[in-house]
Amino acid sequence: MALIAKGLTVQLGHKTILQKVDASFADGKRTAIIGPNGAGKSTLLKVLAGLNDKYTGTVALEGRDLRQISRPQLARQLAILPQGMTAPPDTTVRQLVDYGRFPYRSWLHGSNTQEDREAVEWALSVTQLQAFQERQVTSLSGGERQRAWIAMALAQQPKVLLLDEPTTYLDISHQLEVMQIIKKLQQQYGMTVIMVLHDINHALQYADEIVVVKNKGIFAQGKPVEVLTPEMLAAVFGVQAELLRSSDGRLVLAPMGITAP
Amino acid sequence: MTKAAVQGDNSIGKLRRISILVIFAALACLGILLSIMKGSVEVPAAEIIQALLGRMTGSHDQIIQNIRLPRTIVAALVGINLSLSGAILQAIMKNPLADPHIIGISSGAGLTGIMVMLLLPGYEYLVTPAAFAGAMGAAVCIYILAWKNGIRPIRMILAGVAVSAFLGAGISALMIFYSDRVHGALMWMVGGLSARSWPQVEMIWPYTLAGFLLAVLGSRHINVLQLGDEIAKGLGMRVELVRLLLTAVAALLAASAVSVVGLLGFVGLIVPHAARLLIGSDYRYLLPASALLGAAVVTLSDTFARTAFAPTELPVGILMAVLGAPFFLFLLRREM
Repeated sequence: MALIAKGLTVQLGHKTILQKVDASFADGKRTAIIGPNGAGKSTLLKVLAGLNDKYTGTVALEGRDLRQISRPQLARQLAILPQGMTAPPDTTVRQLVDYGRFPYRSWLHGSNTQEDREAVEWALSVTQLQAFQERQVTSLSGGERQRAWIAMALAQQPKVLLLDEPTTYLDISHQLEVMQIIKKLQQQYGMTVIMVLHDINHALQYADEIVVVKNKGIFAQGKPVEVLTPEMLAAVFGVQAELLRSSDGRLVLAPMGITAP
Repeated sequence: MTKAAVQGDNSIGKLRRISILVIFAALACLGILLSIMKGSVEVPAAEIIQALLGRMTGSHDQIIQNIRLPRTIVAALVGINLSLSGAILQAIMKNPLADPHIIGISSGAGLTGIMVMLLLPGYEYLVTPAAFAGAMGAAVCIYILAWKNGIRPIRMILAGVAVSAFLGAGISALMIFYSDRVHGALMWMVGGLSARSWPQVEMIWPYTLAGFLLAVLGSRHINVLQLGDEIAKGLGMRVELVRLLLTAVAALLAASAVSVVGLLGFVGLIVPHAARLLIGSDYRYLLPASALLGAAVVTLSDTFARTAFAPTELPVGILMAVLGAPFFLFLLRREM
């Protein structure tokens, strides 16, 4: 499912966070949102996910205005993982993943259907957590914990998955593990993925599309090789970088230093 | 296996949860039985069972029917209400210190209840409805004051502290101006069950029944709310609506209890914590566990408070605080 934002303006008190933003996120693609701290990346993601509805302009999910879609209905099509999630310390992985079935249940009908069980099993297997399902989330390593939260979002069986810096605080191997899962979700299951990323090289390697946010607006949008250039890094981040080619032919951006102010 | 793995495998299984519920239920039954048996006149257990089955054969029927039984029922219902209310509030406020005081129940009920007692002597029958109105009024007031583009738990807690301080000033002023009539008011402030009988049972049970059913119905929502507002919203919950409804349920439960027995403290704070330690934070189990443990704690405490210093009857609120405060400190040191 495609997400398209038009003329998006978000204000918090008297402060403008996003100003007349137009951005589109293609169906079945992985799009990375990058930009400096405080540029409005997380705000953009929350508006796209329907978590923040204090905006002017429109967001359309597959042509339907987000404001016209009820909350449970939206949660069956779109899942978001914000930053800094916490669960009660005795929550098990399976319990957490099962919470992903919440939008499919109602006040009175909370029972576990066959469909619920299958969705939970599928989410656990995609994130390779079957062996951990009876473990408490707090007893897991950072990478496993992140996978458990991703599994919860997957149990929603969304068409669109939004992630806010999914690799923050993880060591390099867990970072790659999470990025591989995200890649698999798009390639095997055709999920549309929109993720805020910090690491420019993750964006270069794992995204089909890049959206660069700077100064409350979109600085650039396009294919990674077109957008992620040393010139863009200098203009947006004030960082001097060199584009290198690795032995297997992939492009890598190597930061060299901060450009003189 | 690493240490983390061993800890992780130690999750609370379904069997353990159900056995804890059974133990709590047995404790509640024991509390109720002891509360009917013990007192200035001892009633044998066999006779109580006969009386409860409707066979009025024993010589203690009057005591059981008119004094012990209703008082015990009030104690159990008050324990259930306050514990459920505290358990709900701890989850939806995301704060382990949340209890019915935090939404102004005590200060609101305290002020209006004491007003009636001190300003309108001779209208004691108005104390319960006035306290109920005061409790709900304070809760609504705090909710409105804390509202600004939705409720943030921390704003609600701070608004609660401010409103309670404001109302507390009114209570103190009344007690100073009418210091000659203050005895009844003091008993009310501490919370006690003496002379509570069938009218109080009739007042409180509909709230207990409705509150329990609504809370259990909302237990899956409470579970998801524990993950935080953003996650809950992302999972499709109308967070503001659910929080408002659950706050209302918690307020009604606590207000009905407090208006009947006075400002009984600590039950709403401690019982949910103790239950959570044993049964975990899944509210589908925690809510019934809190209710059963609450009934057990209040009936047992009241029995003890009534008999330990006979013929003087200690208000149960004093005993609860004396036992509750150290227990709470113990939990605090264990958990944090």
